[in-house]
Amino acid sequence: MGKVAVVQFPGSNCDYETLDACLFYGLKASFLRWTASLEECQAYDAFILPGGFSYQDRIRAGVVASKLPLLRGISLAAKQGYPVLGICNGCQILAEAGLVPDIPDLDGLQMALAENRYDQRSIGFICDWVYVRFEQAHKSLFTRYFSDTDVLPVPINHGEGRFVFSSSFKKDTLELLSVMRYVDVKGSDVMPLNGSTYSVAGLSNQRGNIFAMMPHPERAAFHKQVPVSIKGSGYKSRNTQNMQGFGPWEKLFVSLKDALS
Amino acid sequence: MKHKEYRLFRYLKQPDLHAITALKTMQGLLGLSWVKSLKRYDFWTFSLVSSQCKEDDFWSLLLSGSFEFINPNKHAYDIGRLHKRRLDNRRSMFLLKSSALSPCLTLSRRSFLTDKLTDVGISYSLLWEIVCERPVEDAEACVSEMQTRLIDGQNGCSGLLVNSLFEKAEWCSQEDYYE
Repeated sequence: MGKVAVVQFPGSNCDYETLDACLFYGLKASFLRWTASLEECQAYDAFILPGGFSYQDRIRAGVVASKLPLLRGISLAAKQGYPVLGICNGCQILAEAGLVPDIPDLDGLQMALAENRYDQRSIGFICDWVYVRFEQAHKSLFTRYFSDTDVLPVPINHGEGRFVFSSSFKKDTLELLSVMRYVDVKGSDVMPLNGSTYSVAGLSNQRGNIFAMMPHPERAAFHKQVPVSIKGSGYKSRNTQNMQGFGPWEKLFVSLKDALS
Repeated sequence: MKHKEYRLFRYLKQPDLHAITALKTMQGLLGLSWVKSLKRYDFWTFSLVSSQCKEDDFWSLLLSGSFEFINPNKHAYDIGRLHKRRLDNRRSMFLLKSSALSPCLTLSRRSFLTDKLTDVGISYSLLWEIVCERPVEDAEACVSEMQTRLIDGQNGCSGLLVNSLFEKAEWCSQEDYYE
């Protein structure tokens, strides 16, 4: 089976949870530090950029990490079709590096993560459980096992999670991608608290091998992590019998495992 | 009604980690080794009807009334204009202003001001003061290189100091900002 690199940046704080989830679901995963050379990158077959505050979010979340030589290695691997997942700060890094949504017909920077705003007000950091649903889930290697009707609970923790798009990126462009949207518990569209454009919580590149998402699947990888009060379709609520079982994001990790097998 | 404009430049008393990291990134990862120093200012412009408040009263309200704009334990500030820095002729200085494309003030700052004043306009930007070890004659080439790496970005990446999708950037004339 191929090897997964969980990339540690200075300031990553979800690296161990991400590695735990990967190992639990049978992936062959280990840490790769931000100082790694291009040659060291070549020893891996998939990359996960975990959440946290790389470089303390100095200047802008994810921007310093996006300039590292390591990102050139990951970018080269992504161009060859290797899977790359960015979670929260990892999502911000991928956006700053221009790796998502990477629509070949569009020039320049196409997407960014800006500060959270709701109703034209700056609302700062959000820490909450939300619900998400996929559209065109089959278009991404990471989301292909989910159904477009699944409503999945997941935690968010970010201050800069508002997706904004270039003027050439239209709403229709999203149909080319696997898109994760914020919804309510019934799966209906909602205006998310962070003010994200088109309610986007995550999206793939056009090729489908890169996925960037602001919510934290590694914090809902096991049933024991999900509060009892949280519901959703596509998984069973936690109870005393299934405490040790798979969480609502099992399919994301299993999909990666199957791709690397 | 006649409006008057007041300008406040705020900077940190202690080392500014954002500026230090930005400088190291420019010199190392972006190859701009000739950038020698970088200073970051928070820059506010307040516009208010001159009849509703005297200038001294306005600054007293803003600077002593709360920690919303200046926390004296952390911040130093200049009013109106920045102090001019002296540079030898091997070095040149540039001032880059970045601000949000759709500005948005924190609720506490806005309510602090609007509680005290009935008609006040506020704009906020970041000012980056960039000192380069290149003579003044090289200014155009210098700005061109910095424009690519710090603002526009390359190969689909964002600029280091400005993300053009939600921020706008402007190279400022020093005459407008320094004593």
